[in-house]
Amino acid sequence: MNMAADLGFSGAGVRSGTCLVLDRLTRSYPDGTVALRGLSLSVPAGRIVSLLGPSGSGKTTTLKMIAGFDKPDSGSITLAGRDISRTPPHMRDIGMVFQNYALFPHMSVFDNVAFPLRMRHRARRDIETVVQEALALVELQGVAARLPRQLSGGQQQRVALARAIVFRPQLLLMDEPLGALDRQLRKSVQSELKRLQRQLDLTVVYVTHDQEEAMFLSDEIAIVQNGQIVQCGAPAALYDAPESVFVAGFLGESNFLGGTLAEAGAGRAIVTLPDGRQMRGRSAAPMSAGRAVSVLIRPEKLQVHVASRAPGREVNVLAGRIDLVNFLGGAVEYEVDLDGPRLTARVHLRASAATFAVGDPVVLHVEPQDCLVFPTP
Amino acid sequence: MMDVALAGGTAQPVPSQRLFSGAGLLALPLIVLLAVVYVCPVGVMLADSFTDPQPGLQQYQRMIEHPVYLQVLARTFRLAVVVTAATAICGFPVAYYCTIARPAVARIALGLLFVPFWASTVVRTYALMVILGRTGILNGALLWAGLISRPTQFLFHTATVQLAMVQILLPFFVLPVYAGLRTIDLSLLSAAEGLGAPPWQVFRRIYLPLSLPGLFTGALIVFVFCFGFFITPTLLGGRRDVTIAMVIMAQFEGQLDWGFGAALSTVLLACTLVAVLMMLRVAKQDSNR
Repeated sequence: MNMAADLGFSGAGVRSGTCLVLDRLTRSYPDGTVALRGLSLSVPAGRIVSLLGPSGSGKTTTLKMIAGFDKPDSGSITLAGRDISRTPPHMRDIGMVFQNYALFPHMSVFDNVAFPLRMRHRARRDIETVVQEALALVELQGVAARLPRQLSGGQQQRVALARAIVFRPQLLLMDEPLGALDRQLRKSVQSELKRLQRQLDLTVVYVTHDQEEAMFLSDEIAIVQNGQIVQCGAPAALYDAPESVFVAGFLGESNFLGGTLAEAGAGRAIVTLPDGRQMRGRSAAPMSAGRAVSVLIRPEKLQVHVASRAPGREVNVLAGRIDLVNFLGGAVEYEVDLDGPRLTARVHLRASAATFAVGDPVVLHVEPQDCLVFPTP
Repeated sequence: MMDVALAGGTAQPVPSQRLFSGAGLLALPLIVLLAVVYVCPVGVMLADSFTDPQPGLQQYQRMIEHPVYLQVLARTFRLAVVVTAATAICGFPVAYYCTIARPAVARIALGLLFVPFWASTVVRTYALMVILGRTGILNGALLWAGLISRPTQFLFHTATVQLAMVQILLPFFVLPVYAGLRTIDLSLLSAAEGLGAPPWQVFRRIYLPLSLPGLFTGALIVFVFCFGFFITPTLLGGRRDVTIAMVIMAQFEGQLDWGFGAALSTVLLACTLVAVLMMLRVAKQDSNR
């Protein structure tokens, strides 16, 4: 790894500033589908930014635009201060890892990784050193002479990564690169990727539909919906303060309780549930009383108590009955029937924690700051 | 019928799965037929070349003593190489176009390619004579346009033979190449482009190497056809366009010298085999690289 630093392979500390700016990109196709509706995004240098969204939301189209495989109808793409909206892909200096890796089947691992260097007319001796270095980074020195089809899926993934970073591009794009790997492997590749990103100070735009992966990897997550970015921020910020029901539902697990807004003001909200019970929470957006709203409660924020020993509070206490018990290993999930609405509560298993069985009467409690009130879309 | 259903369906083919036990036996009639009408005659031909009219190598000796036969063989070889190369150059873009065109357009293009098959090679060759002859359509058009003052003879040139053969053999080339090109993962081209390859390099380093197996199959078919081509050179060619197949024909039909005809046929067969083996070898080396 030190060798890498000597040859200028690794970055010289965290860069500052903005690497990539997408400004109001639009794209529609002749058949009438609209892929992007004014999508804007700013990617800071040296960070991983994930585009997270359901399939068809426009995240892959966005990636294609950045790489140059598709052109926006309007809007601009700026990479390191240079407008590249009309630059052909081979002049953009962007590395990309494809979903299916897109390794050249007729070339050895070495030749695959050397390809971008050869296209840049680098000296033969340099190529040899730099390729070996890149293969060392992904721990694949031993397989340089093999063909891609002679490698496992995980190894192919690493070759694709080595090939995308070997020429030290300004930006690395990854299109669901771990989709084809099994769960165990995916976890270790994610850690490895994070380590490499820090070590080489890479700027990465990462496309995924896997919210756990996005939260694990990203410095920032941009939630894409209908060809627009609906919210962008650090994973924790997005999780704790989603701005819409869509974002809340897409990132992490959520319970929603429908009701009517009884009182609102100064970020506080009181909601009347259909059965007349009232809940206190934070309002996510300014709303007027009488409006239909949804209350978001994350499963781990719900406390489960034995019915006879209710906590001494009157606020946000909901009585119900355990309907299902799902054992998750370190935690247990209770699905609680509240005589109509159902809530899922996740409780971490500690020695002191009470456990419940199906049919047990229980009382749920949640702090008002953990109830986020949204206007129902 | 069954093949069509299997090819068109979405069922996953399982290698070990069989239609029913003993399905392989259905291939038996064709194997028997091939043995009777192909293997036997070739055996007889080989035997004849060494025994007719008396045992010995005198037929082969005669071939070497008269350089004209080897010249004809070399000329046939050259014709096959030129026609194969020309077919490849004309056919490759067509096959490529069919892979990138919309499916409906590709179907029409491939269909048009096969329209000439509705007529036999003889008919198509005569049709070319009608077009290219001294009183043919082409001369008529050129005279009418005032580009020439008197009819030109387009027939009986080597180039005419080559043109006709390319036209006749093109579908045999395009189909296997098209099938091969369709298997190329187009994301590889994007990948290469993104890694810094300009379009020409994408073609040279990615697309062309990956299309070689299909190209070789197509070229092999065309080359082998060329080597034994008879009708078109006979009808359209001049005296210098005599192919080995025409000489062989003359031995059997005209001279009634079956021994010498058999010897020439044996040499033709051997040359074809050598050429095929060489091409296969190159193709294999290339796919291993």
